Amino acid sequence: MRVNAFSLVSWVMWLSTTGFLFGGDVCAQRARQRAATAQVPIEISARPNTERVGVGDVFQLDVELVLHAKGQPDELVLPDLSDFKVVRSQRGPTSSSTTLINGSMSVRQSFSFTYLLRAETAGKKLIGSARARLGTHSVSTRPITIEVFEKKTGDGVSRSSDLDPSLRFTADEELPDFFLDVRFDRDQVYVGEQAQLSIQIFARDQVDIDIRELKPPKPPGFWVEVLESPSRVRPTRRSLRGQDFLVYPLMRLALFPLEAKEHTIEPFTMVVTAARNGFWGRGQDHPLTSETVKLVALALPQEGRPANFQPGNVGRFSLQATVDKAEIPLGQPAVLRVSVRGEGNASALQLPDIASQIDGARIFPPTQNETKSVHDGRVWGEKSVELLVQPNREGLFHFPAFSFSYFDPIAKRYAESRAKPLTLRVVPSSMTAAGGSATEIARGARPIERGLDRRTPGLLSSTPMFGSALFGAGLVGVMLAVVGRRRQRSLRSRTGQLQRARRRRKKDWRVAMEQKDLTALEKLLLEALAEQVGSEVRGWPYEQIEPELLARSVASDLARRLGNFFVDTQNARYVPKGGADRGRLFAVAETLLDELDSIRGAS
Amino acid sequence: MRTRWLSSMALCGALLGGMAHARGEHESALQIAEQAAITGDRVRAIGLYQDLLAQGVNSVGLQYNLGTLYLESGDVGRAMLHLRSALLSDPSHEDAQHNWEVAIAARQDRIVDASRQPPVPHQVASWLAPGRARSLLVMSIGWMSLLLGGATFLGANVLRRALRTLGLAVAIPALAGAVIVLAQLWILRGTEAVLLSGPIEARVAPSTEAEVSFTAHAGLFGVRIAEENGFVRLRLENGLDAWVPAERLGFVAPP
Repeated sequence: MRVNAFSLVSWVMWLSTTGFLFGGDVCAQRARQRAATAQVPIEISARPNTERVGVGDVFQLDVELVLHAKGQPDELVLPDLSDFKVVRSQRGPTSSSTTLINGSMSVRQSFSFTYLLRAETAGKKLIGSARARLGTHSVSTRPITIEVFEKKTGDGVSRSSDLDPSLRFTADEELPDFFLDVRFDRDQVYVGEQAQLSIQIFARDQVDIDIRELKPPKPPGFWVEVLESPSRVRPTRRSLRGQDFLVYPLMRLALFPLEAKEHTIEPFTMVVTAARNGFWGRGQDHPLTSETVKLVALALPQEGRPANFQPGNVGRFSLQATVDKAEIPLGQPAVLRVSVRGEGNASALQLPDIASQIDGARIFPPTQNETKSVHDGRVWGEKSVELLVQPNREGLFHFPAFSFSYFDPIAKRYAESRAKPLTLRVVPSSMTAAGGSATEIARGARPIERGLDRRTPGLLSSTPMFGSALFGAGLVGVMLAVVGRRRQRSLRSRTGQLQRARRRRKKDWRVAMEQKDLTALEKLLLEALAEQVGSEVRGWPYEQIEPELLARSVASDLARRLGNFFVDTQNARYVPKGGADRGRLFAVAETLLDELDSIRGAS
Repeated sequence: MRTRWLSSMALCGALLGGMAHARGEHESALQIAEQAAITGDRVRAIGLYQDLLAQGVNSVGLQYNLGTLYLESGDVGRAMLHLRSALLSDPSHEDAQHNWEVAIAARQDRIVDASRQPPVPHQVASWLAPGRARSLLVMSIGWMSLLLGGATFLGANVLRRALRTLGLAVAIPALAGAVIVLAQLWILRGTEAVLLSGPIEARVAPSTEAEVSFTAHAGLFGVRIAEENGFVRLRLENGLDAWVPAERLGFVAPP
């Protein structure tokens, strides 16, 4: 059989991929088995739905016992709830499940207990520890502290009916497989006071929630701070009407109402995917819609309202003032820092006008800072202002005792926080304080410049060479311009032209003589003659030159010598070299050229 | 023609001779002042230098020496005035810069956030100090003369045209240099002021009844923004303004 290379490579790749996936699956199964065997056979948990309630508020406590074995626990002690009044206690049904994985059987039993508790008095109250034992394995929960604060009856009391999410459905109605639960932690707050909004999903089965698509709602009329927005949702178990539900806490928000009215959080919808069909299956999407939730924002009372109270200062705060120095020389500033910190919305805080309260000093523009944090589900913050204060006079400078008024929504009254007064000592400024005595200054200074002349060194930089070069360039330029101008003028004049022509002919004569070139000599003399009598001379036969010159009133002697020169030159050209006295001809030509130039210059 | 040349030469000679004579007088006064300063007679040296300034003799070195002598005498305000004058004319004068910093450290007022830059025209004018601007001007004129003169001298058309173009190109920075010198003098002369003696009350408005902003001491330095009722509104190094009596201020004048 002929093996195709391509099919061989494909087979090898398919085998290796399959082997890798199969091997990975087996490894994962073994890891799960190891985890199951290592699991503790008994677990117990206790979870209140809040850790801070007002006096008279009802809250819920869920206790759950999980056994990873058949049978009953050997010992179970439920928490001590003596600090609270138990409004209702309910034992949920026992749920049991058995799972068979690779021949290994896993059993899970769940026992749930639900309590509705009411705090009767203010203070820190304790939910005792719950214990359970199975064979040699003992487990227990940690004691839980619930902070109970004082409040008047009817103000901000959460309704107990709101605490059980299943009560939104009628008794005859079947609980749905999934539902969205949105609720405030109280019914009414003051304007600017924090209310907590929780968003969670109740589901019978596991659901897939895409956290990235989960954006916190921004209800109008509130300042919103995110208290908790987990990056990964971990469900807890809770029993509703004896049925097991998984509770997915999605988000907790702190909402500060901005105006006094009944605020409504309109229903909104989220889509979750239920993973019913296991790993390989595709879940089903379920759109879940919340219920309308209302919160009443009460107006701040007018009674006892301080004149300097600023709206937005709602919470529990304290004012502090510090100055960075105890003593400064006159003319130097000190940094005054005034800060307000405490529980409440720091962004809405309005600090008192510090600068207007300080007299006798120069105040520089302030800088503000703001920080926020979350502790125990409450928003805390600090707002501070820093000012540079430069006293105008020496002596003791007293800062006033700054005060800050705010409304305490828990005590339901206005309060004032007052910073302790500060004092700054302003000492006379002296040379020592400023940088040294005159002697010290003189020691630090560089000496005077010697050998001054009155010239300004900056005029032409500091080096004489540089200045001289620049001036030299200018002078040379001027000289060149003067010489050039004169030269141009002479070039344009007739005398200059004649002189130039004479110099050129002299030069050409020397060249011709050096080369014994009679033709060039003839041409040279003809040009000179042409300048004298006209260019037609170039067309005359040599025998006619003398009579033509005489006819043009050229001196007879000169005409004769010119005629003879051209004839002699003509003859000499055809005589073998050395047969004629060419040197004489060049001498005659020089004489004739001079005579012609002098005649032309004279004319 | 010959008469004209001769008279011109005579006139030049007379001028040069007069200048040489005056220069000789001034140089001897400078030497005496220098000797007085070396021997520790600062008061006499300062007096001699001030006399020379009154006669119109001015230079970076003279301003530097005056500023240094005032600094050594503990007169921080006047020291800053003259050192600043020297620096305005020659920002590269290292000794003047050093002594200026010593004077800044010696003054009593601490200006908070003094890193703020002065206005842009002021920065440009400071960078183009008189010395630099004059050098630029003279250099441009020198090159322009050389190039245009060369263009006139040369016979070849191409070269002549090239040099003439270059000469005209150099004429532009020469003209710019002249404008800069004038603008720089206009911007800088008298715009910077130093408080010569203190303490005095710097106020928020130009009136003796106005609220006191702070107590100012000698060496307070700023740019003059306005003048009213005998008060000058100074913009300090950190950008804040204060009204100071004009008679207590010295105005920086670069040589």
